[in-house]
Amino acid sequence: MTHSLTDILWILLCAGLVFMMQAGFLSLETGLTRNKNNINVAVKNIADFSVSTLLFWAVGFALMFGATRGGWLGSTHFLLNFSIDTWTTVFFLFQVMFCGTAVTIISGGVAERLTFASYLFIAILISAIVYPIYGHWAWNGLNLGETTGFLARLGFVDFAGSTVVHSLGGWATLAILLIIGPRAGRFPQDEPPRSISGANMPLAALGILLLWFGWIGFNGGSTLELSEQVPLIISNTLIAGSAGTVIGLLLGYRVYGRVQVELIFNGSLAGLVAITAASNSVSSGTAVIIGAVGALIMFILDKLLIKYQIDDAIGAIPVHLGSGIWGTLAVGLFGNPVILDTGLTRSQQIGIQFAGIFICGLWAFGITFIASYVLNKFYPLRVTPEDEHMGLNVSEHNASTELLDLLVGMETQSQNNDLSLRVSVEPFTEVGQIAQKYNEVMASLEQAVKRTDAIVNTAQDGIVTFSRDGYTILTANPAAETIFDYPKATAVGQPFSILIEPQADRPRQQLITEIIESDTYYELKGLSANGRTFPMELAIAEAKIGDILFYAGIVRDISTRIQIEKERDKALEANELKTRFLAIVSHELKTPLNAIMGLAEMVDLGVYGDVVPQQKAILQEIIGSAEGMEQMVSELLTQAQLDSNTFVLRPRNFETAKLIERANIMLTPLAQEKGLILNLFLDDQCPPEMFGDFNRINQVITNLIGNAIKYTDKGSINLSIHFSSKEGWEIIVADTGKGIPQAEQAAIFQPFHQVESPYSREAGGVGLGLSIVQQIVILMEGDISLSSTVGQGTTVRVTLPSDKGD
Amino acid sequence: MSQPQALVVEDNINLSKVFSEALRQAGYEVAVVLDGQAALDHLEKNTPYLILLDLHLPDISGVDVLRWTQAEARFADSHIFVASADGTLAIDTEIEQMATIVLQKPVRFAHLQLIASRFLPS
Repeated sequence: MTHSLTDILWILLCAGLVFMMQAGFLSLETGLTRNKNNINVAVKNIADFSVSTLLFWAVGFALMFGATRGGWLGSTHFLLNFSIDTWTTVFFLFQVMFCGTAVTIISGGVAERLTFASYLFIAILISAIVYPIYGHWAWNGLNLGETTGFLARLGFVDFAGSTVVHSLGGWATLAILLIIGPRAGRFPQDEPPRSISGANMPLAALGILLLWFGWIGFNGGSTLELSEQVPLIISNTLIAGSAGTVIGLLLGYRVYGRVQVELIFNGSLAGLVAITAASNSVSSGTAVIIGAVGALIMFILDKLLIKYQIDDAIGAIPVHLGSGIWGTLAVGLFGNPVILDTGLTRSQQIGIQFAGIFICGLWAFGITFIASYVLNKFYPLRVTPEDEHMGLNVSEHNASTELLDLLVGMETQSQNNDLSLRVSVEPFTEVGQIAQKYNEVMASLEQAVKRTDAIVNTAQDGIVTFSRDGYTILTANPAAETIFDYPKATAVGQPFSILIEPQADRPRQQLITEIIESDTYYELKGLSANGRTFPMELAIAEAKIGDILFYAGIVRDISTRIQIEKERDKALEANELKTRFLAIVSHELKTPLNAIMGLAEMVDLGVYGDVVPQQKAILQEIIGSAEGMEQMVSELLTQAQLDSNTFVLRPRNFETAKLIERANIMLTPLAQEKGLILNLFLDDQCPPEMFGDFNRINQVITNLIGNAIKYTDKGSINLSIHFSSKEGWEIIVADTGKGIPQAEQAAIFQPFHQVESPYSREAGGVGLGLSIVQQIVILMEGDISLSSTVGQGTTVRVTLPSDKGD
Repeated sequence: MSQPQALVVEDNINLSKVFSEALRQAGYEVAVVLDGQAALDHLEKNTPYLILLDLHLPDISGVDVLRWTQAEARFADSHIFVASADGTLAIDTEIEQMATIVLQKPVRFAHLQLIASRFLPS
């Protein structure tokens, strides 16, 4: 059989086109997988081509296309010598590309989990044994225009390799996937499957177009000559691929309501795979149907794989196996018998197509499964979970990219919780910008955490965190370690209950639960490492970091506070006792003192007959002493009440005029007795009612007028009461007495003070010193001021707020 | 015209002498009792014009005596001086309203005499 140079040119050109499919697969597979594995996927594509090329040259070509032994096995052309025969070399070039394609299909399906070595093993197995032997059965003699393989002799037709190349690759992929299992995280337990998105869809799309382009040679060259059939074959190929694409598009709209990228990709490839076997033997209309059905089958098979949790990374099985089987069957269903030229009826043809498909499955799946299974026993095909997590770029090739560096840096940080670490920044790239921002975020975070740490570490209160389960101590700040006498970090890991005194009525765990639920401070006994118990205050709050719940206990040693409280209570009690004692004493003293004063006065006034001057002097001494004693008792009592806060005001509404009336009754006689005039004046502006403690206000007025009478020898004493809504009440007591020296005015409000002056018995003892008056006025939220000129008189001004009663 | 009657109710016998003498000097005819029961017995039969009542009595409290008089219509024109030794000035409103005046001990002889003379019927 001779071949024109045109044919040779065409086949060489097609070999080049099919080679381009390697680039297509590389782009598609790296695009549909994750960045952490992309180098690995790409390198596998290059390595498998080289390995399979060498092996196909050394062994595969001989087994496939060497002189047949009974239609089963080739036996010549090992280590093919390219100088013997040009056509054989051209044919080898074209076929070696097909072999490479069959192998590379597998790499996509099993991507992201196989070790490189095991993938090479599979590439060797397929290219040296599985592919060439099955190829022999279908295609032996092709280069010589003969059909000598046993399947071909039975009438099996696979024009460009729907089964020989695509299904076979698909079967092998399935076998390996069953052994190695799905990628981590693809089928989480009790959750719907999680799709693993490809990292670079535009690259994958470019891969699809490169495959289309390559397919022109894949099918177009399979005539092995530049015949008039070629345009039809290429056209059928393109319209079948397009039909598959459109079906993918429609399925996306129908099922997901949108254009589903993967369905477009795989729909187009399924159409191309399906038409491969029949591209020379069907009409253009049929080609459209074959392509469309191929895409449908791809879709169904994809769903089945997910159902059975078979994780095909890029859809190699649905596309190449599913659609490949369909395409091979389509030859029987639709193939033009004249072109097929097998002499079989259509049903016979369909039967033999089935047989070919079945034998391919048995062979390719069987051998691959057994070989992989055995190898997996001794040498695991799959990478370790850690490597898979890290990505094969790093684990298999020690490759490093900026993104990867960033991820590794972040991973390290998340592992050791060291916030001070910073990732390396590659300037002028997007990842570099992310890295820089990440570092900035970390810096802020570190600062925030340091600030919190500083607060926790310097807090006076103990802060102890403990777990939800078992209440195990997680952390304790320095204050907590001091409170409970635990040396640094020795409390960590122990149960929180060891910090609490054992309870008589219930386990400490139960008490802790109660405190947690109460949401308030508890006062209880703490237990230190050396067995000392002490009163403490404990509040427990629930805290959360991410998903982790824990408790934070805030502890305060309240020994000192309790001690102070006890002492304060004691002091208060003592003070109250003193006040009560004084009240009783003053009450009991006042009546006999009153009797002493009265009796002495009676004698003094001559009730019992005339008194000689010496006797009068003694009587005045008695009266004066009694008065002094009485005043002291009153001042002591009032002062004690003020000191112990038992001085109580009883405010109520009363008639303002009553103050004047009372002063008139009580004090006018005293003034008149001394020859003084007491002027009482109530301003018209004053409201008829006043709100306040009548007795206390009256006491103040009585004291002030009493003092005035005491220290005034002639003239008058004026009491006037005023009111203004702005200033409130104003009570003024003015006298024309001897006045108080400037030097003594400041001291006049001191307790137990009396102006140095000769005793005036006529005035009588009326009430308390000015210091008490001042304190009473202040308690009524008022004010008192004094102005005095020696020789002219004294004016005391008291203001009181204008409170309204209810 | 006969002198107006006065009653002094004061358990301290010395002080009762002072009070009664002061009232007598002011122009009253004075009776003296030393406890609450005696006061009530006296008031059953008499209607004094002025009553000087110590609040702190050994048997019945002065306040009860005060209340008793308020219930009797015949005391409507009587003046009641209350004498209190309570240093805390905790005189409640009820006493304030029932009494004509409240005197804080010590009640001075001359002072009492002056005040009482002002209340003499004209």
